[in-house]
Amino acid sequence: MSKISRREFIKDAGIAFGGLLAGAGAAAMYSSEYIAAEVPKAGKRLVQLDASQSACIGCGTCELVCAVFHEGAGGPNLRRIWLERNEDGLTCRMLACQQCDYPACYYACPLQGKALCIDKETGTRYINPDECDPGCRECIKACPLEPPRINYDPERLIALMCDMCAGRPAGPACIEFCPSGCLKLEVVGA
Amino acid sequence: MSKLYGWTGGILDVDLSEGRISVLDTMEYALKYIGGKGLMHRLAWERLPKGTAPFGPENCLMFAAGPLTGTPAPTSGRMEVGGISPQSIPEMYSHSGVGGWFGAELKYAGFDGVLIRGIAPAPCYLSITDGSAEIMDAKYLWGLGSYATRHELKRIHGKNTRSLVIGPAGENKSRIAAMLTDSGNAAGQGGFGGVAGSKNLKAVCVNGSGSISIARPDELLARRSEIGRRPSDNPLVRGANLEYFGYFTGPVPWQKFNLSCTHACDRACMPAFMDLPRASRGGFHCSDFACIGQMSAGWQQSDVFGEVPGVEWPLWQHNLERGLEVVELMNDLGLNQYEILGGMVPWIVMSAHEGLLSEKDFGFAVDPDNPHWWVKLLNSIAYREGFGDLLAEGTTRAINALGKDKYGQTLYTGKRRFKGIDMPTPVSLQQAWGYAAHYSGRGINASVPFPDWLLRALTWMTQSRDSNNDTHHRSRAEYIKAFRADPYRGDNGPRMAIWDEHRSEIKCSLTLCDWAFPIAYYTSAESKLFAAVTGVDTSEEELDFTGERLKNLQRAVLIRNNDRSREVEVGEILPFFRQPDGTAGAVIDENEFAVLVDSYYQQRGWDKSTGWPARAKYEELGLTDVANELQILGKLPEMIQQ
Repeated sequence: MSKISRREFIKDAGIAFGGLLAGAGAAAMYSSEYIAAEVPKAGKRLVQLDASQSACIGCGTCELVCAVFHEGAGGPNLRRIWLERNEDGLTCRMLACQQCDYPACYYACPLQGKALCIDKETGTRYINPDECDPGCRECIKACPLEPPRINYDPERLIALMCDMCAGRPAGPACIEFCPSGCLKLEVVGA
Repeated sequence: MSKLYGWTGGILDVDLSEGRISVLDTMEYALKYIGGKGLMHRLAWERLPKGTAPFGPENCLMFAAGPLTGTPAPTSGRMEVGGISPQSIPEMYSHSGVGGWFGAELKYAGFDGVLIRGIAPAPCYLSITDGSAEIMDAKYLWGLGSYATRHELKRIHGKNTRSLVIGPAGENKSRIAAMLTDSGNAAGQGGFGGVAGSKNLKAVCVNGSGSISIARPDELLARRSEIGRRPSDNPLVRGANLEYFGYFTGPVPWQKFNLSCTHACDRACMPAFMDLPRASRGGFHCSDFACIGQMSAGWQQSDVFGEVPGVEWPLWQHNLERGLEVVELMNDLGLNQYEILGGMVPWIVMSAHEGLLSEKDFGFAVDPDNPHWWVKLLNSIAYREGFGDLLAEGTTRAINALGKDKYGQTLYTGKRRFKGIDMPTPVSLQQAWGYAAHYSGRGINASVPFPDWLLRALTWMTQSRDSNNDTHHRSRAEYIKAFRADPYRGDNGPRMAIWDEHRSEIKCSLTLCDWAFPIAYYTSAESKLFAAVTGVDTSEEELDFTGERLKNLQRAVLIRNNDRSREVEVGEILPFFRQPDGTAGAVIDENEFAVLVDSYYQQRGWDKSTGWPARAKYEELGLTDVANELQILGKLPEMIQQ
């Protein structure tokens, strides 16, 4: 596993996300000086192994097992990870919460600490669906990534975000079941 | 209604003549007929009576997903398309499987299937969105190729729109027109693109945001773990040997830029390991390869398969790039690749070598090494121009129209070598019911040796199309060994064929990949997945029993509509197998084959003289109403002759 520096990540992300992060304000969100001192530092996040090589076969197994593990059902509005498929280019990009150092979603949440929470031990940013304020969507609006990495279930009117299958002994289901083995956990900032 | 698991509960019933749309209750069918092919068998029994013409308003174009479709059950993204097939000879109820994403999206939109009858007064398409459907004007889509149509539908209905479309070939009611999904997968065989064209139906598109509930989620994930591969190292450097019908590809890295052909696929299927130049092909990906394309495009690549009989036809040898372009064009025009590459072009090329067909017939020289020849040929078929008008009827119908004796059976004496021996070959590779040979010891993919092709003869005999698409001959080594020791007279051959037929019905009803299932070392996989998703506890034996019900129901449709009998079926299958096979020159022993058919019918509980199931068999399978109707028609033996 190759390591990339924070600066390289910002550079890559800026290219990958259509230049959204190229703006000074957006880049500042990612800079180490701006990390809010009062929240635990992010721990790990889910990443796609070498997206540029597209080992991903676009089968959608990650999306399906995610929804089934969390919700007991499969469907586009129940998953916390999903693929942006470029079927003409034969590549797929995995989209899921990237566990920002500066958790804009957390600060935007009116029920901060109850609905959008940060695990004190692992630093994982996650949503407690039982506490999420129906229809609020403030976290989705605040997500600095494009497209936002928080899904929305229009039936229950709540936001859904990758928690890396917290509490699942085998770790994230998407990693376990990806037939191409192209997902992994990465230490944020490593 | 109690909560549904697996199924969504609705089947769209669309009448294009009247412009009416209603919804049928899936659960009236689901527990007995599951979904997919099984559901279509029942709908065909109820709605496609004898005499239904493929291009008439009374024909139903059916799409059916199953309870596993759109769930994490491995390879479960498939769907079945069916109706009275214009490609089959005689025209009869048939089906075609299709991968891609349409089936899952249909279920997320709240439907397990779609049934379309009538003929729209003007070109239209059906748009399905979350529990509702609308017949839309297709004035601006009519005439477009399949790629442009799919892109236009995405532009109108959003980039996540999934669609099944036809190209010009379907619009012109070609009997060999396919329906293609937006991911490039096709319901190729059967001519259902022509059926859609006859209904003035350019496309069906779907957007779904709903979900499919799973009865036992943890169990489903556990089952998937048992079945699926568990890659542990870096896929970019991982290599693998793939065995395929006894041939090895050698170690090659995991393919990059390779899309799976359907939802939730976990399979290492052969195309993933073939180092094919795919990255340069927008829209040309695994879907086209996994079903048809890799065969057609790669057929001539003896360096891929080694010396396999059937790969040495003098077509566009060793020019895969050109083969890919040809496949792309067929997809855009909406033509059945398998029919053209597996049956028609070998027939044209060999006929030209033998002086039976010439430039005079086509208006241009027969020259498959010239890419322009392909463009002219395919366009003439899709637009029914000149000789292409006859070819648009399919190879078998073209041969029958020209004269079967001269154009069908004549032996090709040109260059066809295998292991240094010149092999005499019939000019036509048509096997039965209007379909080109496929894994039957002769013609394309002739690698199946005697006696294994005897089982292909048995399963093709009772089908309405090429049966080797989803009836794959998989069995345990000891059964195969016993069958080979006494192929005509032992019990093992028919037992294996029957098991494969039942598993074919099951996998195409659930739905699961027709290549990946059944798994010889894990035969309870289907029933365990079904139970975990639906919550309906079902043993392997119980699901096999359902498979038997579905096979007998399909047989009842063919007996009622097409006067199927032993005499018809054996007569249909024999001529092909009288030709020497591709590996050893072996031919079928007709007297001994009669013994094998006796044994097959006996094990099925069918009457030996007619090949018809008796009342007791239908009643045992819960098909009493079917037996009653057949009795009125005089097609129900009271006692079976054993």
